Amino acid sequence: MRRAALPLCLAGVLLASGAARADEDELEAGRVIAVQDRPFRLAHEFTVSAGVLPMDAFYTGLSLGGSYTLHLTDLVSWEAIAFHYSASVDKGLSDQLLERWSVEDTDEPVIQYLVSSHAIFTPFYGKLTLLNNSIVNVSTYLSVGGGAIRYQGEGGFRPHFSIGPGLRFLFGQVVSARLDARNMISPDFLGGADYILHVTASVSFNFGSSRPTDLGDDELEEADLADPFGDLDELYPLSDPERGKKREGEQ
Amino acid sequence: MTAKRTALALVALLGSAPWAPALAAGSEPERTAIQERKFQLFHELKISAGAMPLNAFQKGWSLSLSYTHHLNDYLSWEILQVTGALLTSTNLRDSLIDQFAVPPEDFAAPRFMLTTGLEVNPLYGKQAFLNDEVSHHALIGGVYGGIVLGDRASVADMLTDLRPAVGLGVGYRLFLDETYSARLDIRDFLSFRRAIRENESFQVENVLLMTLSLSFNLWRDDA
Repeated sequence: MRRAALPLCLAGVLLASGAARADEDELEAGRVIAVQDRPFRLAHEFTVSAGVLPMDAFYTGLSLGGSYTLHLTDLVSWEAIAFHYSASVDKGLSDQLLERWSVEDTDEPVIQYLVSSHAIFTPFYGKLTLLNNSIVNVSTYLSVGGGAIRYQGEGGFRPHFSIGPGLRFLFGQVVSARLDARNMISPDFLGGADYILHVTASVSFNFGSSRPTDLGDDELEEADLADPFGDLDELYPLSDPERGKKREGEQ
Repeated sequence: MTAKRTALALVALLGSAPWAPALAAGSEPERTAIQERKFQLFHELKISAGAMPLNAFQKGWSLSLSYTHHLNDYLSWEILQVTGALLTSTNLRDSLIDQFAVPPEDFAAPRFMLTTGLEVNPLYGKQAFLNDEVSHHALIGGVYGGIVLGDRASVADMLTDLRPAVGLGVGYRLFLDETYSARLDIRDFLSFRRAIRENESFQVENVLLMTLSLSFNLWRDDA
């Protein structure tokens, strides 16, 4: 009797575990992700920035600048123009060369200002909690673009190509804070290329919420005239009996 | 006294008025729902590749290993990070060696770093990727301290040239799942370098360490 009971128990356990697994499979067959609409809609953005150009061996550039960005969609925007003036702070390398090895440096080009234009892609948008208490809306983006760099003295202009990530904290429809790290390659006509890193912290002010890519007024009016509940009534005829009766009368 | 009584009566009357509940309801603070953090870290092992780009004579390409113990959601202790760097010579260093006969041992850029640090993780959240996939991420801030070892000719010289260093850092973590996460860290150290050779002088060096890392969250309490 005991010998017969053991396989029966095992079979029972296996069947039960199989049924449980089937339930889990059913539950895990679909995945529901709720993605909310973005609460803030940027259109015309004016930005004031302070930054640093830390890479040059001889000086550190401290920059001050601004930009205008036109937001075309939630995903794509165009930083139409950005201008950054840089003040150089000596790192003391010239003195070191002179004191330690009695070597005088040649005149290295020093960045005076940068003018650029970037396409900005914002694939990430979400919310951060601060100490599990308050919520800040954030977006992460990538800037790709280029422009010109003006060097002091007879350094003239050089082109540059730029790419870099950025992070935006949205404090409302108007004000947001940005952090950008732009990696620039500036080809030298005499040969070679310079790598320049520009890190900026910015405050942005957004004006308006309608974008050039939005539907025109005429198209919106047409959209309004269409029966917005028509499709719903067809799907759920019992959801609004009054409307159902009206439609029957019309027919 | 009469004026005080009148004021109190007025307040009581306004408080009991029929519009009082409506006013109270109107002034209710906005309600915010905040979920618990989906990913919690306990024992973090991190492997990082990065760059130490600021030295004028030698640029470093670094590899780091670290262990971090997460005390709670907000505070963690990076008990040890060991960093080694492969140094490449800049044009300036090459010129000094080739044209001015400067000995290569004169430069001694940071070669190894041993640091420890306290990290805070105040910001944690979710981002939608292309309004479709949801990813979890966190921002990290840290205070670090340790020692830097310069690129000297021998191990004995290297050990003589221990440079204390203190630094600040920021980081961004993207959670891949309960175990894996990717990190981007930028740490800036001030390293105090003594004079070891004849023509050297005391220097405060700026050592920037930028790393990309893969983190492993191990021995989870909830696993």
